[in-house]
Amino acid sequence: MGSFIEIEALEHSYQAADGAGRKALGGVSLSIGRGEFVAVLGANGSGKSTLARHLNGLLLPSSGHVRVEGMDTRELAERGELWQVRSKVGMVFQNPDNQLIAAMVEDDVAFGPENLGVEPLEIRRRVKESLEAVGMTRFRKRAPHLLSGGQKQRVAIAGALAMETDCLVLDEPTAMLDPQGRKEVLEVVKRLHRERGLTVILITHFMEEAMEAQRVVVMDKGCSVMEGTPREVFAREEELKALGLEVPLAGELAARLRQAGVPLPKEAILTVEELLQGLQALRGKAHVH
Amino acid sequence: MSIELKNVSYTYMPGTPMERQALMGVTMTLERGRFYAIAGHTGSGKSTLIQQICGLLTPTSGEVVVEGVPLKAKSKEGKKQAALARRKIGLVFQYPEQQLFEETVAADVAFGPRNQGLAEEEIARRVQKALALVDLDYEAYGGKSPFQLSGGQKRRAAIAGVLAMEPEYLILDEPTAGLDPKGREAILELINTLQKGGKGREPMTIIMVSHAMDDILRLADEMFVMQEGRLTASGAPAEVFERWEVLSEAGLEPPKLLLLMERLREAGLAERGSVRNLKEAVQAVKRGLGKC
Repeated sequence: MGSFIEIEALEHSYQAADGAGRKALGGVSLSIGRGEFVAVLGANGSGKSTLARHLNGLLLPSSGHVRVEGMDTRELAERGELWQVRSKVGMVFQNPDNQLIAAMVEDDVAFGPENLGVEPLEIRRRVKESLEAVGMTRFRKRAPHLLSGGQKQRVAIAGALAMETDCLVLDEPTAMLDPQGRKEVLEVVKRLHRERGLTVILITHFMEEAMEAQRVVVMDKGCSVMEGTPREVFAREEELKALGLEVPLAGELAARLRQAGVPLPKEAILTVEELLQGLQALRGKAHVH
Repeated sequence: MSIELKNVSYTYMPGTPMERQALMGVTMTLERGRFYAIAGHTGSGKSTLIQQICGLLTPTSGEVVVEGVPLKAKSKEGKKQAALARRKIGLVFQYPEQQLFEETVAADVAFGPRNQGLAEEEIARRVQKALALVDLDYEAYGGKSPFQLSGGQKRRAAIAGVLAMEPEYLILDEPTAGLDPKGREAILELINTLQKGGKGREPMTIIMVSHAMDDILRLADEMFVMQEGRLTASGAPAEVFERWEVLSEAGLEPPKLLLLMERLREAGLAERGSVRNLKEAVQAVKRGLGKC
Protein backbone atom coordinates (compact mmCIF):
# COMPACT_ATOMS: atom_id res chain seq x y z
CA MET A 1 0.00 0.00 0.00
CA GLY A 2 2.12 2.86 -1.30
CA SER A 3 1.44 6.39 -0.22
CA PHE A 4 -1.28 7.95 -2.36
CA ILE A 5 -1.75 11.32 -0.68
CA GLU A 6 1.05 13.02 1.24
CA ILE A 7 0.18 15.95 3.46
CA GLU A 8 3.21 17.72 4.82
CA ALA A 9 3.11 20.48 7.48
CA LEU A 10 -0.07 21.82 5.92
CA GLU A 11 -1.20 25.23 7.13
CA HIS A 12 -4.19 27.18 5.90
CA SER A 13 -5.47 30.61 6.87
CA TYR A 14 -8.75 32.17 5.82
CA GLN A 15 -9.09 35.87 5.33
CA ALA A 16 -11.63 37.08 7.93
CA ALA A 17 -14.08 39.94 7.26
CA ASP A 18 -11.86 42.37 9.18
CA GLY A 19 -8.89 41.52 6.99
CA ALA A 20 -7.12 39.47 9.65
CA GLY A 21 -6.12 35.90 8.86
CA ARG A 22 -7.71 33.08 10.80
CA LYS A 23 -5.70 29.91 10.92
CA ALA A 24 -7.92 26.92 10.12
CA LEU A 25 -5.10 24.39 9.82
CA GLY A 26 -1.99 24.67 11.89
CA GLY A 27 0.51 22.20 10.50
CA VAL A 28 -1.07 18.86 9.60
CA SER A 29 1.08 16.01 8.36
CA LEU A 30 -0.60 12.86 7.20
CA SER A 31 0.04 10.13 4.72
CA ILE A 32 -2.78 8.16 3.14
CA GLY A 33 -2.06 4.86 1.44
CA ARG A 34 -3.57 3.70 -1.83
CA GLY A 35 -6.75 1.73 -1.09
CA GLU A 36 -6.88 2.86 2.51
CA PHE A 37 -10.12 3.83 4.33
CA VAL A 38 -9.41 6.73 6.68
CA ALA A 39 -11.99 8.54 8.80
CA VAL A 40 -11.33 12.09 9.92
CA LEU A 41 -13.27 12.85 13.07
CA GLY A 42 -13.66 16.22 14.70
CA ALA A 43 -16.14 18.72 16.13
CA ASN A 44 -17.45 21.63 14.06
CA GLY A 45 -14.69 24.15 13.46
CA SER A 46 -11.89 21.64 14.03
CA GLY A 47 -10.58 22.12 10.50
CA LYS A 48 -11.65 18.79 9.04
CA SER A 49 -13.56 20.30 6.09
CA THR A 50 -10.68 22.65 5.33
CA LEU A 51 -8.39 19.63 5.28
CA ALA A 52 -10.78 17.77 2.95
CA ARG A 53 -10.87 20.67 0.49
CA HIS A 54 -7.09 20.54 0.16
CA LEU A 55 -7.13 16.95 -1.04
CA ASN A 56 -8.32 17.79 -4.55
CA GLY A 57 -7.03 21.31 -4.77
CA LEU A 58 -10.25 23.19 -3.99
CA LEU A 59 -8.09 24.97 -1.45
CA LEU A 60 -4.34 25.43 -1.71
CA PRO A 61 -1.96 25.38 1.25
CA SER A 62 -0.93 28.71 2.82
CA SER A 63 2.23 26.81 3.63
CA GLY A 64 3.28 23.18 3.50
CA HIS A 65 2.43 20.70 0.75
CA VAL A 66 -0.29 18.38 -0.43
CA ARG A 67 0.86 15.80 -2.94
CA VAL A 68 -1.42 13.39 -4.76
CA GLU A 69 0.58 10.61 -6.39
CA GLY A 70 3.58 12.85 -6.04
CA MET A 71 1.94 15.84 -7.72
CA ASP A 72 2.07 19.00 -5.62
CA THR A 73 -1.31 20.79 -5.73
CA ARG A 74 0.24 24.25 -5.54
CA GLU A 75 2.61 23.57 -8.41
CA LEU A 76 -0.26 22.13 -10.47
CA ALA A 77 -2.35 25.23 -9.77
CA GLU A 78 0.46 27.47 -10.95
CA ARG A 79 0.60 25.51 -14.20
CA GLY A 80 -3.22 25.51 -14.47
CA GLU A 81 -3.25 21.73 -14.28
CA LEU A 82 -5.35 21.07 -11.21
CA TRP A 83 -7.58 18.83 -13.35
CA GLN A 84 -4.90 16.19 -12.94
CA VAL A 85 -5.70 15.97 -9.24
CA ARG A 86 -9.43 16.36 -9.70
CA SER A 87 -9.51 13.35 -12.01
CA LYS A 88 -7.92 11.27 -9.27
CA VAL A 89 -9.74 12.58 -6.20
CA GLY A 90 -13.53 13.00 -6.22
CA MET A 91 -15.43 14.99 -3.62
CA VAL A 92 -18.87 14.51 -2.13
CA PHE A 93 -20.23 17.30 0.03
CA GLN A 94 -22.61 17.52 2.95
CA ASN A 95 -25.68 19.07 1.40
CA PRO A 96 -27.33 16.67 -1.07
CA ASP A 97 -29.27 19.55 -2.63
CA ASN A 98 -26.22 21.60 -3.55
CA GLN A 99 -24.33 19.23 -5.81
CA LEU A 100 -26.79 17.78 -8.30
CA ILE A 101 -27.34 19.99 -11.30
CA ALA A 102 -28.98 18.10 -14.15
CA ALA A 103 -32.71 17.44 -14.65
CA MET A 104 -32.20 13.70 -14.83
CA VAL A 105 -30.07 11.36 -12.71
CA GLU A 106 -28.09 9.88 -15.59
CA ASP A 107 -27.37 13.32 -17.07
CA ASP A 108 -26.04 14.40 -13.72
CA VAL A 109 -23.67 11.44 -13.55
CA ALA A 110 -22.59 12.11 -17.15
CA PHE A 111 -21.80 15.76 -16.48
CA GLY A 112 -18.19 15.26 -15.36
CA PRO A 113 -16.98 12.98 -18.18
CA GLU A 114 -18.88 15.11 -20.75
CA ASN A 115 -16.95 18.13 -19.58
CA LEU A 116 -13.69 16.25 -20.05
CA GLY A 117 -14.71 15.49 -23.64
CA VAL A 118 -14.95 11.74 -23.14
CA GLU A 119 -16.37 9.74 -26.10
CA PRO A 120 -20.21 9.39 -25.92
CA LEU A 121 -20.11 5.58 -25.91
CA GLU A 122 -17.54 5.61 -23.14
CA ILE A 123 -19.69 8.07 -21.18
CA ARG A 124 -22.64 5.69 -21.48
CA ARG A 125 -20.57 2.82 -20.18
CA ARG A 126 -19.29 4.86 -17.23
CA VAL A 127 -22.73 6.18 -16.30
CA LYS A 128 -24.19 2.68 -16.40
CA GLU A 129 -21.40 1.19 -14.28
CA SER A 130 -21.36 4.05 -11.79
CA LEU A 131 -25.10 3.92 -11.19
CA GLU A 132 -24.88 0.16 -10.75
CA ALA A 133 -22.08 0.56 -8.24
CA VAL A 134 -24.24 2.76 -5.99
CA GLY A 135 -27.45 0.81 -6.59
CA MET A 136 -29.26 3.64 -8.38
CA THR A 137 -29.76 2.13 -11.85
CA ARG A 138 -33.51 1.94 -11.28
CA PHE A 139 -33.65 5.70 -10.78
CA ARG A 140 -31.56 6.71 -13.80
CA LYS A 141 -34.44 8.52 -15.56
CA ARG A 142 -35.70 10.26 -12.42
CA ALA A 143 -35.39 13.93 -11.52
CA PRO A 144 -32.73 14.28 -8.79
CA HIS A 145 -34.82 16.66 -6.68
CA LEU A 146 -37.48 13.99 -6.21
CA LEU A 147 -35.02 11.53 -4.64
CA SER A 148 -34.48 11.04 -0.91
CA GLY A 149 -31.38 12.55 0.70
CA GLY A 150 -29.58 9.19 0.80
CA GLN A 151 -30.36 8.56 -2.85
CA LYS A 152 -29.10 12.02 -3.83
CA GLN A 153 -25.81 11.36 -2.07
CA ARG A 154 -25.48 8.03 -3.88
CA VAL A 155 -25.96 9.85 -7.19
CA ALA A 156 -23.27 12.34 -6.14
CA ILE A 157 -20.94 9.40 -5.44
CA ALA A 158 -21.81 7.92 -8.86
CA GLY A 159 -20.86 11.28 -10.38
CA ALA A 160 -17.41 10.97 -8.84
CA LEU A 161 -17.05 7.34 -9.95
CA ALA A 162 -17.92 8.29 -13.54
CA MET A 163 -14.76 10.42 -13.50
CA GLU A 164 -12.92 7.18 -12.74
CA THR A 165 -11.38 8.63 -9.66
CA ASP A 166 -9.13 6.44 -7.52
CA CYS A 167 -10.09 8.21 -4.34
CA LEU A 168 -13.27 9.53 -2.79
CA VAL A 169 -13.25 12.32 -0.22
CA LEU A 170 -16.61 12.58 1.53
CA ASP A 171 -17.16 15.68 3.63
CA GLU A 172 -19.84 14.80 6.21
CA PRO A 173 -21.92 13.08 3.53
CA THR A 174 -24.54 11.87 6.00
CA ALA A 175 -24.90 14.88 8.32
CA MET A 176 -28.14 16.01 6.71
CA LEU A 177 -29.66 12.55 6.21
CA ASP A 178 -32.11 10.50 8.25
CA PRO A 179 -30.93 7.18 9.78
CA GLN A 180 -32.05 5.19 6.73
CA GLY A 181 -30.17 7.51 4.35
CA ARG A 182 -27.10 7.38 6.54
CA LYS A 183 -27.07 3.61 6.43
CA GLU A 184 -27.48 3.54 2.61
CA VAL A 185 -24.59 5.91 2.01
CA LEU A 186 -22.24 4.21 4.46
CA GLU A 187 -22.99 0.78 2.94
CA VAL A 188 -22.15 2.07 -0.54
CA VAL A 189 -18.93 3.66 0.67
CA LYS A 190 -17.85 0.50 2.46
CA ARG A 191 -18.63 -1.64 -0.57
CA LEU A 192 -16.73 0.61 -2.98
CA HIS A 193 -13.72 0.45 -0.71
CA ARG A 194 -13.91 -3.31 -0.31
CA GLU A 195 -14.76 -4.34 -3.85
CA ARG A 196 -13.01 -1.71 -5.94
CA GLY A 197 -10.12 -0.89 -3.67
CA LEU A 198 -11.12 2.77 -3.74
CA THR A 199 -9.18 5.01 -1.38
CA VAL A 200 -11.76 6.56 0.96
CA ILE A 201 -11.38 9.60 3.20
CA LEU A 202 -14.53 10.05 5.22
CA ILE A 203 -14.95 13.29 7.16
CA THR A 204 -17.56 12.80 9.86
CA HIS A 205 -18.63 13.55 13.38
CA PHE A 206 -20.52 10.29 13.69
CA MET A 207 -18.59 7.87 15.81
CA GLU A 208 -20.35 4.82 14.29
CA GLU A 209 -19.09 5.78 10.84
CA ALA A 210 -15.53 6.27 11.99
CA MET A 211 -15.63 2.78 13.55
CA GLU A 212 -15.90 1.33 10.02
CA ALA A 213 -12.60 2.83 8.87
CA GLN A 214 -9.15 1.22 8.96
CA ARG A 215 -7.64 4.30 10.53
CA VAL A 216 -9.09 7.26 12.41
CA VAL A 217 -7.56 10.72 12.55
CA VAL A 218 -9.02 13.09 15.16
CA MET A 219 -8.82 16.81 14.46
CA ASP A 220 -9.03 19.64 16.97
CA LYS A 221 -8.32 23.34 16.47
CA GLY A 222 -6.71 22.78 13.09
CA CYS A 223 -4.37 20.03 14.21
CA SER A 224 -4.37 16.26 14.12
CA VAL A 225 -4.48 15.29 17.82
CA MET A 226 -5.03 11.52 17.70
CA GLU A 227 -4.40 8.83 15.14
CA GLY A 228 -4.75 5.09 15.14
CA THR A 229 -7.08 2.19 14.52
CA PRO A 230 -10.68 2.78 15.63
CA ARG A 231 -9.96 0.56 18.66
CA GLU A 232 -6.92 2.57 19.67
CA VAL A 233 -8.70 5.89 19.25
CA PHE A 234 -12.04 5.04 20.84
CA ALA A 235 -10.36 3.54 23.88
CA ARG A 236 -9.31 7.13 24.76
CA GLU A 237 -12.79 7.90 25.99
CA GLU A 238 -12.03 10.83 28.28
CA GLU A 239 -10.00 12.69 25.67
CA LEU A 240 -12.62 12.23 22.97
CA LYS A 241 -15.35 13.56 25.22
CA ALA A 242 -13.23 16.56 26.11
CA LEU A 243 -13.05 17.29 22.36
CA GLY A 244 -16.84 17.22 22.18
CA LEU A 245 -16.98 13.86 20.40
CA GLU A 246 -18.98 10.73 21.03
CA VAL A 247 -17.70 7.40 22.27
CA PRO A 248 -19.35 3.99 21.69
CA LEU A 249 -22.30 3.40 23.99
CA ALA A 250 -20.91 0.15 25.46
CA GLY A 251 -17.66 1.99 26.27
CA GLU A 252 -19.52 4.82 27.90
CA LEU A 253 -21.60 2.48 30.05
CA ALA A 254 -18.41 0.64 31.02
CA ALA A 255 -16.82 3.93 32.10
CA ARG A 256 -19.88 4.85 34.17
CA LEU A 257 -19.90 1.40 35.78
CA ARG A 258 -16.24 1.75 36.72
CA GLN A 259 -16.99 5.14 38.26
CA ALA A 260 -19.83 3.54 40.22
CA GLY A 261 -17.37 1.04 41.70
CA VAL A 262 -17.92 -1.97 39.43
CA PRO A 263 -14.41 -3.48 39.06
CA LEU A 264 -14.45 -4.14 35.33
CA PRO A 265 -11.15 -5.32 33.82
CA LYS A 266 -8.74 -2.62 32.74
CA GLU A 267 -8.73 -3.57 29.05
CA ALA A 268 -10.64 -1.23 26.79
CA ILE A 269 -14.32 -2.04 26.36
CA LEU A 270 -15.81 -0.78 23.09
CA THR A 271 -18.37 -3.33 21.95
CA VAL A 272 -21.41 -4.93 23.53
CA GLU A 273 -19.60 -8.31 23.40
CA GLU A 274 -16.66 -6.95 25.35
CA LEU A 275 -18.96 -5.46 27.96
CA LEU A 276 -20.79 -8.77 28.28
CA GLN A 277 -17.50 -10.63 28.73
CA GLY A 278 -16.24 -8.13 31.29
CA LEU A 279 -19.41 -8.37 33.36
CA GLN A 280 -19.55 -12.16 33.06
CA ALA A 281 -16.02 -12.40 34.39
CA LEU A 282 -17.11 -10.39 37.42
CA ARG A 283 -20.04 -12.67 38.02
CA GLY A 284 -17.69 -15.66 37.81
CA LYS A 285 -15.59 -14.17 40.59
CA ALA A 286 -18.68 -13.46 42.69
CA HIS A 287 -19.51 -17.18 42.57
CA VAL A 288 -16.06 -18.14 43.84
CA HIS A 289 -16.32 -15.93 46.91
CA MET B 1 -55.19 23.74 28.70
CA SER B 2 -54.09 21.88 25.61
CA ILE B 3 -53.89 21.67 21.85
CA GLU B 4 -56.24 19.12 20.42
CA LEU B 5 -56.16 17.53 16.99
CA LYS B 6 -59.47 15.92 16.15
CA ASN B 7 -59.44 13.42 13.30
CA VAL B 8 -57.18 15.63 11.19
CA SER B 9 -56.64 14.65 7.56
CA TYR B 10 -54.75 16.59 4.95
CA THR B 11 -54.37 16.18 1.21
CA TYR B 12 -51.76 18.06 -0.79
CA MET B 13 -52.96 19.44 -4.14
CA PRO B 14 -56.40 17.79 -4.11
CA GLY B 15 -58.03 17.22 -7.49
CA THR B 16 -54.73 17.32 -9.39
CA PRO B 17 -52.53 14.47 -10.67
CA MET B 18 -50.10 15.39 -7.85
CA GLU B 19 -52.74 14.70 -5.18
CA ARG B 20 -51.24 13.03 -2.12
CA GLN B 21 -52.86 12.31 1.20
CA ALA B 22 -50.28 13.25 3.83
CA LEU B 23 -52.33 12.87 7.02
CA MET B 24 -55.14 10.45 7.74
CA GLY B 25 -57.42 10.82 10.76
CA VAL B 26 -54.85 11.97 13.31
CA THR B 27 -56.21 12.57 16.81
CA MET B 28 -53.94 13.71 19.64
CA THR B 29 -53.88 15.92 22.72
CA LEU B 30 -50.89 18.05 23.64
CA GLU B 31 -51.13 19.22 27.23
CA ARG B 32 -49.45 22.29 28.63
CA GLY B 33 -45.98 21.90 30.10
CA ARG B 34 -45.16 18.44 28.76
CA PHE B 35 -42.40 17.21 26.46
CA TYR B 36 -43.68 15.45 23.34
CA ALA B 37 -41.67 13.77 20.63
CA ILE B 38 -42.81 12.86 17.13
CA ALA B 39 -40.94 10.06 15.36
CA GLY B 40 -41.36 8.64 11.90
CA HIS B 41 -39.55 7.83 8.70
CA THR B 42 -38.95 10.58 6.13
CA GLY B 43 -42.26 11.09 4.31
CA SER B 44 -44.38 9.72 7.17
CA GLY B 45 -46.24 13.02 7.60
CA LYS B 46 -44.31 14.51 10.55
CA SER B 47 -43.69 17.88 8.92
CA THR B 48 -47.28 18.13 7.66
CA LEU B 49 -48.46 17.29 11.16
CA ILE B 50 -46.52 20.07 12.88
CA GLN B 51 -47.67 22.58 10.29
CA GLN B 52 -51.24 21.61 11.20
CA ILE B 53 -50.56 22.03 14.91
CA CYS B 54 -49.42 25.61 14.46
CA GLY B 55 -52.00 26.53 11.85
CA LEU B 56 -49.66 26.97 8.88
CA LEU B 57 -51.79 24.42 7.06
CA THR B 58 -55.54 23.98 7.48
CA PRO B 59 -56.93 20.43 7.68
CA THR B 60 -58.78 19.08 4.64
CA SER B 61 -61.08 17.49 7.23
CA GLY B 62 -61.10 17.41 11.04
CA GLU B 63 -60.03 20.31 13.23
CA VAL B 64 -57.28 21.73 15.40
CA VAL B 65 -58.34 23.41 18.65
CA VAL B 66 -55.84 25.50 20.60
CA GLU B 67 -56.86 26.04 24.23
CA GLY B 68 -60.52 25.88 23.30
CA VAL B 69 -60.22 28.01 20.16
CA PRO B 70 -60.75 26.29 16.79
CA LEU B 71 -58.07 27.46 14.32
CA LYS B 72 -60.45 27.14 11.37
CA ALA B 73 -62.99 29.90 11.97
CA LYS B 74 -65.54 31.54 9.71
CA SER B 75 -66.75 34.60 11.62
CA LYS B 76 -64.65 37.72 11.94
CA GLU B 77 -64.46 37.34 15.72
CA GLY B 78 -63.59 33.67 15.37
CA LYS B 79 -60.72 34.51 13.01
CA LYS B 80 -59.41 37.10 15.43
CA GLN B 81 -59.47 34.57 18.27
CA ALA B 82 -57.75 31.99 16.07
CA ALA B 83 -54.98 34.45 15.20
CA LEU B 84 -54.40 35.14 18.89
CA ALA B 85 -54.39 31.41 19.68
CA ARG B 86 -51.83 30.76 16.93
CA ARG B 87 -49.48 33.25 18.56
CA LYS B 88 -49.17 30.87 21.51
CA ILE B 89 -47.36 28.43 19.27
CA GLY B 90 -43.81 28.90 18.02
CA LEU B 91 -42.29 26.81 15.23
CA VAL B 92 -38.59 26.21 14.71
CA PHE B 93 -38.12 24.81 11.21
CA GLN B 94 -35.44 22.36 10.20
CA TYR B 95 -32.10 24.15 9.69
CA PRO B 96 -33.62 27.40 11.02
CA GLU B 97 -30.27 29.17 10.63
CA GLN B 98 -30.86 29.23 6.87
CA GLN B 99 -33.52 31.84 7.58
CA LEU B 100 -31.28 34.32 9.40
CA PHE B 101 -31.21 37.42 7.25
CA GLU B 102 -30.74 40.62 9.29
CA GLU B 103 -27.46 42.50 9.59
CA THR B 104 -27.05 41.78 13.27
CA VAL B 105 -28.07 38.96 15.58
CA ALA B 106 -30.09 41.38 17.74
CA ALA B 107 -32.01 42.74 14.73
CA ASP B 108 -32.78 39.23 13.57
CA VAL B 109 -34.16 38.19 16.95
CA ALA B 110 -36.17 41.46 17.08
CA PHE B 111 -37.83 40.82 13.73
CA GLY B 112 -40.83 38.84 15.06
CA PRO B 113 -41.72 41.08 18.01
CA ARG B 114 -41.31 44.17 15.81
CA ASN B 115 -43.67 42.64 13.25
CA GLN B 116 -46.22 42.24 16.01
CA GLY B 117 -46.04 46.00 16.55
CA LEU B 118 -44.65 45.86 20.09
CA ALA B 119 -43.10 48.93 21.74
CA GLU B 120 -39.32 49.34 21.27
CA GLU B 121 -38.70 48.88 25.01
CA GLU B 122 -40.60 45.63 25.03
CA ILE B 123 -38.75 44.47 21.90
CA ALA B 124 -35.39 45.21 23.54
CA ARG B 125 -36.41 43.34 26.69
CA ARG B 126 -37.49 40.32 24.68
CA VAL B 127 -34.33 40.25 22.55
CA GLN B 128 -32.11 40.32 25.62
CA LYS B 129 -34.15 37.65 27.36
CA ALA B 130 -34.27 35.36 24.31
CA LEU B 131 -30.52 35.62 23.69
CA ALA B 132 -29.83 34.92 27.36
CA LEU B 133 -32.04 31.83 27.17
CA VAL B 134 -30.08 30.38 24.25
CA ASP B 135 -26.81 31.24 25.99
CA LEU B 136 -25.62 33.88 23.52
CA ASP B 137 -24.27 36.87 25.41
CA TYR B 138 -26.08 40.01 24.22
CA GLU B 139 -23.02 42.24 24.60
CA ALA B 140 -20.74 39.86 22.74
CA TYR B 141 -23.08 38.63 19.99
CA GLY B 142 -26.00 41.09 19.67
CA GLY B 143 -24.08 43.40 17.32
CA LYS B 144 -22.41 40.68 15.26
CA SER B 145 -23.53 39.53 11.84
CA PRO B 146 -25.32 36.17 12.09
CA PHE B 147 -22.86 34.91 9.50
CA GLN B 148 -19.93 35.39 11.86
CA LEU B 149 -21.32 32.78 14.23
CA SER B 150 -20.49 29.06 14.31
CA GLY B 151 -23.05 26.52 13.10
CA GLY B 152 -24.35 25.74 16.58
CA GLN B 153 -24.47 29.44 17.53
CA LYS B 154 -26.39 30.31 14.35
CA ARG B 155 -28.96 27.70 15.18
CA ARG B 156 -29.34 29.04 18.73
CA ALA B 157 -29.72 32.59 17.38
CA ALA B 158 -32.49 31.37 15.08
CA ILE B 159 -34.24 29.66 17.98
CA ALA B 160 -33.95 32.91 19.97
CA GLY B 161 -35.92 34.60 17.19
CA VAL B 162 -38.81 32.24 17.87
CA LEU B 163 -38.46 32.52 21.67
CA ALA B 164 -38.69 36.32 21.40
CA MET B 165 -42.31 35.78 20.33
CA GLU B 166 -42.80 34.24 23.80
CA PRO B 167 -44.66 31.13 22.67
CA GLU B 168 -46.27 28.81 25.19
CA TYR B 169 -45.95 25.83 22.89
CA LEU B 170 -42.69 25.33 21.03
CA ILE B 171 -42.50 22.99 18.04
CA LEU B 172 -39.03 22.03 16.79
CA ASP B 173 -38.45 20.08 13.56
CA GLU B 174 -35.29 18.02 14.03
CA PRO B 175 -33.54 20.74 16.01
CA THR B 176 -30.22 18.87 16.25
CA ALA B 177 -29.89 17.80 12.59
CA GLY B 178 -26.45 18.39 11.12
CA LEU B 179 -24.80 19.49 14.40
CA ASP B 180 -21.79 17.85 16.02
CA PRO B 181 -22.22 16.05 19.37
CA LYS B 182 -21.42 19.14 21.44
CA GLY B 183 -23.85 21.30 19.43
CA ARG B 184 -26.53 18.63 19.70
CA GLU B 185 -26.14 18.42 23.46
CA ALA B 186 -26.33 22.22 23.83
CA ILE B 187 -29.62 22.38 21.89
CA LEU B 188 -31.15 19.49 23.83
CA GLU B 189 -30.17 21.06 27.10
CA LEU B 190 -31.74 24.35 26.02
CA ILE B 191 -34.99 22.57 25.10
CA ASN B 192 -35.01 20.74 28.41
CA THR B 193 -34.49 24.01 30.31
CA LEU B 194 -37.34 25.68 28.42
CA GLN B 195 -39.65 22.79 29.22
CA LYS B 196 -38.73 22.74 32.92
CA GLY B 197 -39.38 26.48 33.35
CA GLY B 198 -38.25 28.17 36.57
CA LYS B 199 -36.53 31.52 37.22
CA GLY B 200 -39.86 33.28 36.67
CA ARG B 201 -40.58 31.37 33.46
CA GLU B 202 -43.59 29.13 32.95
CA PRO B 203 -42.77 25.61 31.80
CA MET B 204 -43.01 25.52 28.01
CA THR B 205 -44.72 22.75 26.10
CA ILE B 206 -42.24 21.09 23.76
CA ILE B 207 -43.13 19.21 20.59
CA MET B 208 -39.94 17.87 19.05
CA VAL B 209 -39.65 15.97 15.78
CA SER B 210 -36.62 13.72 16.01
CA HIS B 211 -34.86 10.79 14.38
CA ALA B 212 -32.74 10.25 17.48
CA MET B 213 -34.55 7.56 19.45
CA ASP B 214 -32.09 7.70 22.34
CA ASP B 215 -32.86 11.42 22.81
CA ILE B 216 -36.60 10.71 22.75
CA LEU B 217 -36.20 7.97 25.36
CA ARG B 218 -34.14 10.24 27.59
CA LEU B 219 -36.22 13.42 27.34
CA ALA B 220 -39.82 12.99 26.21
CA ASP B 221 -42.84 12.43 28.45
CA GLU B 222 -44.81 11.07 25.56
CA MET B 223 -44.06 10.09 21.99
CA PHE B 224 -46.06 9.72 18.78
CA VAL B 225 -45.09 7.37 15.96
CA MET B 226 -46.16 8.40 12.45
CA GLN B 227 -46.31 6.02 9.53
CA GLU B 228 -47.65 6.83 6.07
CA GLY B 229 -49.76 9.70 7.36
CA ARG B 230 -51.23 7.76 10.27
CA LEU B 231 -50.54 7.90 13.98
CA THR B 232 -49.65 4.27 14.73
CA ALA B 233 -48.51 4.47 18.36
CA SER B 234 -48.43 6.89 21.25
CA GLY B 235 -47.52 6.77 24.92
CA ALA B 236 -44.53 6.95 27.25
CA PRO B 237 -41.34 6.28 25.20
CA ALA B 238 -40.32 3.33 27.37
CA GLU B 239 -43.66 1.66 26.57
CA VAL B 240 -43.75 2.56 22.89
CA PHE B 241 -40.20 1.29 22.41
CA GLU B 242 -41.25 -2.10 23.73
CA ARG B 243 -43.57 -2.50 20.76
CA TRP B 244 -40.79 -3.42 18.34
CA GLU B 245 -43.16 -4.58 15.60
CA VAL B 246 -44.83 -1.13 15.47
CA LEU B 247 -41.41 0.51 15.36
CA SER B 248 -40.00 -1.66 12.62
CA GLU B 249 -43.15 -1.23 10.53
CA ALA B 250 -42.69 2.52 10.87
CA GLY B 251 -39.08 2.11 9.72
CA LEU B 252 -37.63 3.06 13.10
CA GLU B 253 -35.01 1.36 15.20
CA PRO B 254 -35.22 1.09 18.99
CA PRO B 255 -32.84 3.29 21.02
CA LYS B 256 -29.29 1.93 21.17
CA LEU B 257 -29.42 1.99 24.94
CA LEU B 258 -32.41 -0.37 24.99
CA LEU B 259 -30.75 -2.76 22.53
CA LEU B 260 -27.67 -2.83 24.74
CA MET B 261 -29.72 -3.38 27.92
CA GLU B 262 -31.66 -6.18 26.22
CA ARG B 263 -28.40 -8.02 25.53
CA LEU B 264 -27.28 -7.57 29.12
CA ARG B 265 -30.62 -8.82 30.45
CA GLU B 266 -30.58 -11.88 28.20
CA ALA B 267 -27.23 -12.76 29.76
CA GLY B 268 -28.69 -12.19 33.21
CA LEU B 269 -26.38 -9.23 33.80
CA ALA B 270 -28.99 -6.52 34.29
CA GLU B 271 -32.26 -6.29 36.11
CA ARG B 272 -35.53 -6.09 34.19
CA GLY B 273 -37.41 -2.84 34.14
CA SER B 274 -37.36 0.29 32.04
CA VAL B 275 -34.18 2.30 31.66
CA ARG B 276 -34.21 5.81 30.16
CA ASN B 277 -30.61 6.96 30.46
CA LEU B 278 -27.08 5.81 31.32
CA LYS B 279 -27.53 6.58 35.00
CA GLU B 280 -30.49 4.23 35.24
CA ALA B 281 -28.58 1.68 33.14
CA VAL B 282 -25.74 1.67 35.70
CA GLN B 283 -28.25 1.01 38.48
CA ALA B 284 -29.90 -1.82 36.54
CA VAL B 285 -26.53 -3.50 35.93
CA LYS B 286 -25.45 -3.09 39.55
CA ARG B 287 -28.67 -4.67 40.76
CA GLY B 288 -28.33 -7.40 38.14
CA LEU B 289 -24.82 -8.22 39.33
CA GLY B 290 -25.83 -8.04 42.97
CA LYS B 291 -28.23 -10.90 42.49
CA CYS B 292 -25.64 -13.42 41.40
